[in-house]
Amino acid sequence: MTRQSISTKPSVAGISRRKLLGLGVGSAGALALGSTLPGALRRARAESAADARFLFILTATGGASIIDSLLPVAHSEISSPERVAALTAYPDEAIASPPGSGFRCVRNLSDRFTALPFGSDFDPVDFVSRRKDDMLVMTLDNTSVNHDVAQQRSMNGDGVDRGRTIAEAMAMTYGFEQPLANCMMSSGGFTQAGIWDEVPDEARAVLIGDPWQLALATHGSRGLAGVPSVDDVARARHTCELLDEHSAFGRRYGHSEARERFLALRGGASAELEGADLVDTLMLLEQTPERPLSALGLSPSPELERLRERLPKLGEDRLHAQAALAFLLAREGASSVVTFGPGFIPPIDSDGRAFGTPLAFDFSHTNHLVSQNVMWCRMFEVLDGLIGLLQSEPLGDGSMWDQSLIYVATDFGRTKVIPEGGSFFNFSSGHDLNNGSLLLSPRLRGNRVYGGVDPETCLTYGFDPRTGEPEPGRLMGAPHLYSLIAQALEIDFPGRLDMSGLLR
Amino acid sequence: MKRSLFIVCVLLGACNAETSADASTQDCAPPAESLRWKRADVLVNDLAGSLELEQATICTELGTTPCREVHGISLGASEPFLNTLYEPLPRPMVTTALAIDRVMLSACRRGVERDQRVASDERVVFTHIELGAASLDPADAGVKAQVHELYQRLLGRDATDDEVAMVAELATDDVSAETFATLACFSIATTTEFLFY
Repeated sequence: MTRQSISTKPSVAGISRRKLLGLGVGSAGALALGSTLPGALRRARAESAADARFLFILTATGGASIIDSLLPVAHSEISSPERVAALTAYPDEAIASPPGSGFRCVRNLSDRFTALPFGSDFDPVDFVSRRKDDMLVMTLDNTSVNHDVAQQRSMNGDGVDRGRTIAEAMAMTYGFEQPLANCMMSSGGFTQAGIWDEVPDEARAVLIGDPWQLALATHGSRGLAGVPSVDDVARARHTCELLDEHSAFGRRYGHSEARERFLALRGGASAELEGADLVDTLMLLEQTPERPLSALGLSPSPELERLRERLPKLGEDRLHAQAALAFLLAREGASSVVTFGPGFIPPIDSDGRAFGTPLAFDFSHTNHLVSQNVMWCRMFEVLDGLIGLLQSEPLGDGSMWDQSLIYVATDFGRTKVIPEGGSFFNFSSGHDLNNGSLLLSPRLRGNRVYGGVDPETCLTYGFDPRTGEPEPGRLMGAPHLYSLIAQALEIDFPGRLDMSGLLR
Repeated sequence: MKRSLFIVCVLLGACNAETSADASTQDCAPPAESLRWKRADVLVNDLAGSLELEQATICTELGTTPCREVHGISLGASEPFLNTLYEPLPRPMVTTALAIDRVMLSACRRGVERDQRVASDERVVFTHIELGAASLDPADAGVKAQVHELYQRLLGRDATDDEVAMVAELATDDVSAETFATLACFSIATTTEFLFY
């Protein structure tokens, strides 16, 4: 399949708002162009539904261990009581096998936690039962136990694709004319740009700090109290351009790369983003007496109620807000890849309740089982909400979900041995290269674990990527994972590994 | 003389390796690539100082949160907590120019509002025009003086005649004096001469 690269991307409709103004076209004309853009994006998306692809990367920060969720070892599978006591394995009753599922999963164990004030009310068994056909687990070994390095490698496949990240590859392939092709709401190494210098600025990640207020960052003036009209601001911008062109400073630094880059962004992609008029569409905040949106000419997203049905903690849980924004960005045709996930900051609401652990999965250093169980339930809950939204959004003859893939990226696995003195509900784990990853998409040959786990060591082993058959002793790596995502989304690159055994 | 010039160039760190005693002043000028993007705190500090406003109030989103906080990453700040971004982004993003516009526009408006609330002899920045006027004449001496005032405050120099004329064109029949003041301030504050150093 031939695709137009984003590197050949012209500005919207071939001309920017600032250039329109510079050519003497009235601001009303420029604004009219902008005001039609969201609809145009949606239409373009609908017309090319078969070509649309969406990648969502949920970053399971801190080391989401696959043997503590979808590839658990049961105590009854282990040969001796001594090994049972030493390994990160689970009592048989803590593991469920949903009917018709190729997966087993660790149940929600929150009712058995007493030592720490964390918990979740989401049931992983329900999730697996509902989503099993579109999900797969592939085992792999990472190459670093340093958070930052490992997170970067989970995005760039250990450099298998010339050093670009899978998000950059996605944006370069599908982000044509999208104002925020590659959105990034995650943290740490997941946010790092790739090292392939041919990745254009438009395909680089746009970092978002506050998902609730991203809407405001998409426009230069809307929602500011008492400021002049959009038309007047457009005139002042034109004056600014003239001043820049004529000033001694502008002439002296006319060839400054930093200045040129800024001006190109301001007159191009930034103007296009503003022209897309996404402020109201992406507004995740509600009108309140303290937050008078309507008085500022703003309104909440018309999708807010629908979002809240699937992501009920949207108003207070940053992770839910990120997932909601990811859906809206893709739905509006603004983004083709959105990365989001919990960071290392404890998510606490205004009443002091914790939505997750203080360090996400890395709180396993303090209490492995509690952290893995709470955080996996948290991941499943937000995945379930996002998939539900994607399934409910028509696209072509199907839904957005038909063209989507969700990759649950993580740093690495966790150590498989309970330290001496530890007990099942209270032990600390370290970082371990050995692990596996969860991916979800109707494009994958789902309801299956690719590879397996040795019950005597709790270490995972690999598989034949062409057939999917397990191969004890074989190790898979980040290049396999990157290649699988790329192949599923029809992104080609030199050296891509053949993962066809895992594709529908 | 030439030796003195060479020493000055070396002290400025601006001469390239081939600089010789024959170097002209043009050879010794700092390279264009030395320009730096004025990031979040520097930008806000400069702006607040230029317009004599409190940093915390120059721009708030939805009346509650400082723009510096909401748009910190876009404005070029690090964000070590929520995004574990220990080092700021190397270059602007697509949202950067829009975040800058929001800060500048809001700050200019706050400056106008502040000067509107006080007696004319207590105004701070917009001292040369009648802020309550329904419109202004671009040829008015007060408009020219106000443009110079803004240039001095924001860029540390007088405007040229051409620059005065360009900014004065923002004063049209259907633009009030207070709107002109905001727009004039905004158009100067968003020039790359203010945004880079």
